[in-house]
Amino acid sequence: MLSVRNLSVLRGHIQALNSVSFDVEVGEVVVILGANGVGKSTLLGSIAGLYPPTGGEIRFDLDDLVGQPPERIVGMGISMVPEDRQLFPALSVRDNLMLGAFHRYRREKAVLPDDLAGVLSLFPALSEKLNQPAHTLSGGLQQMVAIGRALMAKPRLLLMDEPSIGLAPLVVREIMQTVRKLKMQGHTIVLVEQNARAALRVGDRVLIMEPGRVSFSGTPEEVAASGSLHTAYLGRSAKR
Amino acid sequence: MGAEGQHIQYLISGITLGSIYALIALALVVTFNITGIFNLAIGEFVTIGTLSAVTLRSAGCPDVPAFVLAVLIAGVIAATMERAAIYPARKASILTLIIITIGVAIALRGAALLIWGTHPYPLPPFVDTAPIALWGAVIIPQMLFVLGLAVVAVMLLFAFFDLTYAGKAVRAAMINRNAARLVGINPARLSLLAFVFSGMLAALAGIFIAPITTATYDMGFMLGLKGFVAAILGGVTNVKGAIVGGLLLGIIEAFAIGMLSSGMKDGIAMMVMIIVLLICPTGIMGLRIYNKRTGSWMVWLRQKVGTGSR
Repeated sequence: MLSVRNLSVLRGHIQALNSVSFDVEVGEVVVILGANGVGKSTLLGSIAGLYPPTGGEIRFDLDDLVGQPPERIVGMGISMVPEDRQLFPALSVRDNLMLGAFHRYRREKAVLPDDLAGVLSLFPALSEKLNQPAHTLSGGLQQMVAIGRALMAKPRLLLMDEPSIGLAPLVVREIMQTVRKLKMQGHTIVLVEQNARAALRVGDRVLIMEPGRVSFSGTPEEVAASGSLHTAYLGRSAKR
Repeated sequence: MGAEGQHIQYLISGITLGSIYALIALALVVTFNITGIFNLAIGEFVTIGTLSAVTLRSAGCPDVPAFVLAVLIAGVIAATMERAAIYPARKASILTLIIITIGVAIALRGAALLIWGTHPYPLPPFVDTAPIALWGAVIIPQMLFVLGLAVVAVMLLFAFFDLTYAGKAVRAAMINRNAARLVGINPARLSLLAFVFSGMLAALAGIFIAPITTATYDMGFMLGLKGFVAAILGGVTNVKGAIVGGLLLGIIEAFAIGMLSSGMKDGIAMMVMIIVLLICPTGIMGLRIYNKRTGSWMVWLRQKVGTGSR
């Protein structure tokens, strides 16, 4: 459903991505692993429209995403849980969630309460916090708001940028369980993670990135067998 | 009139003029929060709105329709300005965009000069009631209209931000532009709305104050500048601060005129701006007070719209 071909992105004067290609099929969870600064977030951000590519192609079903602004791309069916959550801290949890549905608010106003209820059944802990400003919540709950906000857009493809970052192990497990639940509900997900072990357990397919490019792509089992994960995180010298 | 009555008089005039500064500051701050730029042509919308109202009235249009039409004219010109001058340059630097607004201001002022000339136009007060005496001071009825406009405009604005979905979307865009874009909020459309809103608010402010000050082609210049000072006084990004800053500036000015000299009027505003920028560049909203109970420094006035970074 998503096809990225030879994608190159410049951020400032840095070639953040250099000819990256990969595909995502309907219903699968693709995990992108890699050390800090190899371009994982840039890759997600450029699919969502935040960073315009300098070359290459991004196709989402029949739509060409290159050159489209983020506010259009969310309308085409891709929504993103951004790095560091990026909530609207002064707004209430309910407002944060409801704003996730902004692109379809006018047409689908009537079904939004049901969708909100759906998100709350996924994250029951948010139910009693609906009227609190988002910044008063714990990190884990804030992450749930961020995921819930992205789900309120009713995406066909969900991009998640390091949803486990900075969270306690127990909360990380909860977030990963959420990802698994979303997958069972039929969501298609691209998940960027630092926490390789947790991510390998939920992924159908794994991409490993080295600076600017994808160095490996395969199933979690293949990753474990190949040792390329060590290479990605520890550098070439660790291979031997 | 005793000294006390005089002070009350200064206070009342200060609050009246301050309400106008507050409205203009509000227009500036809302636009700034949404677009990241100062619309330094804001004063020209005061002028255009007011003089259009004067012209429409003298052409035989009844008061209320004339005012509504004049405000709409200002809105249309503001929309044209945004689409023709700001939108095409939206990828340029903030400084470039602000300079563009200065350019638009000069062009609009020139156009106003060509259309209306240099002589002042009177706009009669909305009602023909005699001034009211209160505690030794005199209240001109028009002052009450100005106050009423400020109160209603602020209340409507806050209701919009707090109670409506669209208002929350605007706040979201003010708090975190990129996150707002990711949920589908279009900043280019908000920019247009911000310019139209601020242009119309400025025009309204001009129409309400003109019966007290008279209307000239350059009346907006100083009002725009004062609104800018009020916005700085209030901390530039702070909606509540803009209102407090405007009122404060009006009151400081009124007392300075009364107790020093009327020639000091415009100088005082500039002095206030320089002092604020030197001592407290985050404006009065950045002022902290010591809370004895908790034993810590607290922000004196809490921010209305969001606390997040842009």
